[in-house]
Amino acid sequence: MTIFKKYVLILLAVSSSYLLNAQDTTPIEYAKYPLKLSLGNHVVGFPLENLFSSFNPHLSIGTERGINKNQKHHLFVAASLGFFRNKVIGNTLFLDLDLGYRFTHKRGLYVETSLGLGTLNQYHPRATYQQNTTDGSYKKRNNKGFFASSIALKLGIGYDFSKKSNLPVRIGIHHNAFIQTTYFDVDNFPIMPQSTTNISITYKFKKS
Amino acid sequence: MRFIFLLIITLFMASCAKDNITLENDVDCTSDFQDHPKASALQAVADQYANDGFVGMTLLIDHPTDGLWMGSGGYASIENDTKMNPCHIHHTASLYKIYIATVIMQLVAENKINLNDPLSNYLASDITDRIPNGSSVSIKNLLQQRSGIPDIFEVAFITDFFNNPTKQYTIEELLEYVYDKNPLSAVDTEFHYSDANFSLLTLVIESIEGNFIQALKTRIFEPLNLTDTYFLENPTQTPVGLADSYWDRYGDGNIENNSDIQVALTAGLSGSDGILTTANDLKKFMQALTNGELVSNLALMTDFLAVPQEVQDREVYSGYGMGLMKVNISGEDWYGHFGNQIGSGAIVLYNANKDITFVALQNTGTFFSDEIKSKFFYQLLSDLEAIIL
Repeated sequence: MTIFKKYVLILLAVSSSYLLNAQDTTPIEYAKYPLKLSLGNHVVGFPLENLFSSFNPHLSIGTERGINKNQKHHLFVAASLGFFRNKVIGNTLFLDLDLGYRFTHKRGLYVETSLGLGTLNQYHPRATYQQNTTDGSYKKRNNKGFFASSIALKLGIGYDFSKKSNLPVRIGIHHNAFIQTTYFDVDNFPIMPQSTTNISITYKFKKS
Repeated sequence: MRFIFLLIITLFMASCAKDNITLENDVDCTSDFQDHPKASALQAVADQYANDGFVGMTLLIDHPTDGLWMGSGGYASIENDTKMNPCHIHHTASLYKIYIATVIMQLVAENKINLNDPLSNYLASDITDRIPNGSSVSIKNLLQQRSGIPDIFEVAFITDFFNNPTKQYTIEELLEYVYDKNPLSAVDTEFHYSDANFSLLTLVIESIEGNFIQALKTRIFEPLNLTDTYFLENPTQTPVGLADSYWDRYGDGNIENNSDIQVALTAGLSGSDGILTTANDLKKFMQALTNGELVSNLALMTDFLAVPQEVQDREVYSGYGMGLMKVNISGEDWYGHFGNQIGSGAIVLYNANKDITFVALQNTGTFFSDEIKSKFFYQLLSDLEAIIL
């Protein structure tokens, strides 16, 4: 608990030093690749459905690169690498590439949307067996996972502190709806709709 | 002394092993039925399927001249290295519909139900007002799957299932999946297979008999002495001898044990599932039904109406009566039902022309695998017909 308090105090001190520097109006140049961390919950369902019907932690790290220089209407490409833990459909590692648009109000509030393509490796949530067809016996298999692709639509809203201060941080809430293009071997349910709802923090490094 | 103690413990544990199950079956579970003229060919089919995507398979054929044959292939439990035995107990999924239809027909014979009565004569308006076509649908429409009511087990249920696969539902909670939806057709105009029809019939039985599980027991299980047939009310109270359940999730030959989920579904899908049984008990039930011991008007139940061609192409059966499917793969008419679940599959069929009863019970999920489903509900009967007819 004491350690936790210590970290909170350090965080507050760092944040306030940035906020106090808000008086300094010299524009700050940021490096091209900010660092984005997201933490949230993964569920099975269509967009905005079943958001918290089960608890499956989701974590990702990513970055983005601007396509245009317009800070109000910003087009960007983003990449993220992440993991979600889901005991029912299987723990999953994923890599997403997105093309996005962000509108940022001069006061710092922003909304964004993006379309993405992804690839994922989903691990069987339980032990798996494969049959030896010569004698019909079963042998436990290594869980190397199952490779699939995904298509995503992402929506987000948040606040960019750097618009009104020198704090080079953007925070947001994001809903990422995606469909996994292969799951079951059935015609009537060929895709697995899923979503994650996350809070994110994006840190923009200063240009050296 | 220590040796004797260990010996006693070992013998005791061996007697409890699942592959030595001793059930109440009135058949010898260990017999290889070698006196049966087609024993080796039939056993070869069980072995072949157990070597081709199915973890375990039990088959039963009761033929008027060849006699009874039962056999198994594969495993009841991979983890425990337990071979499938003809007396293992299995999940039966939608075979439930035959049992419910049977009780309804008994209530009709007792003048407690009229088939042409509207559903609203038996259920409260807070249910019928929210059921598509709820004000006009009759008991007969529900039995014939011609109510126009959508199915419960569609995408919304499936996504909920993957967030909470062991949830236990009441019938009313399952009906929420069809409440206030548009009907798929007007009443008695089209066939649409829907578990909601039999959930509502279950509620009709409850409205008359008080408790539908008790009605199943007193009207079917007990009179027929089906001592290895159970209604699973609680997922923690599975009977000894229940085969484990498996699925090939991605259709890539990797088998996972999903027994906990399958057991939860059998117990938790009230009004759509719940019966666990053996091949022999299933045979006894089907023969009692077909020889008129259970219902007096079997002709009504077997008055099959053709199902749409796309259903025939996808689901194999060609007609539907009242809780009974009609199947014709290579010119021979059979009737009975299929049970399609995530960790099991069940078939019971009767050939009225040749007086043959056929039961197949297996423990690999058919619901999420078109390949397994097609092999089990189509190819298996086709292979067996070549031997037994």
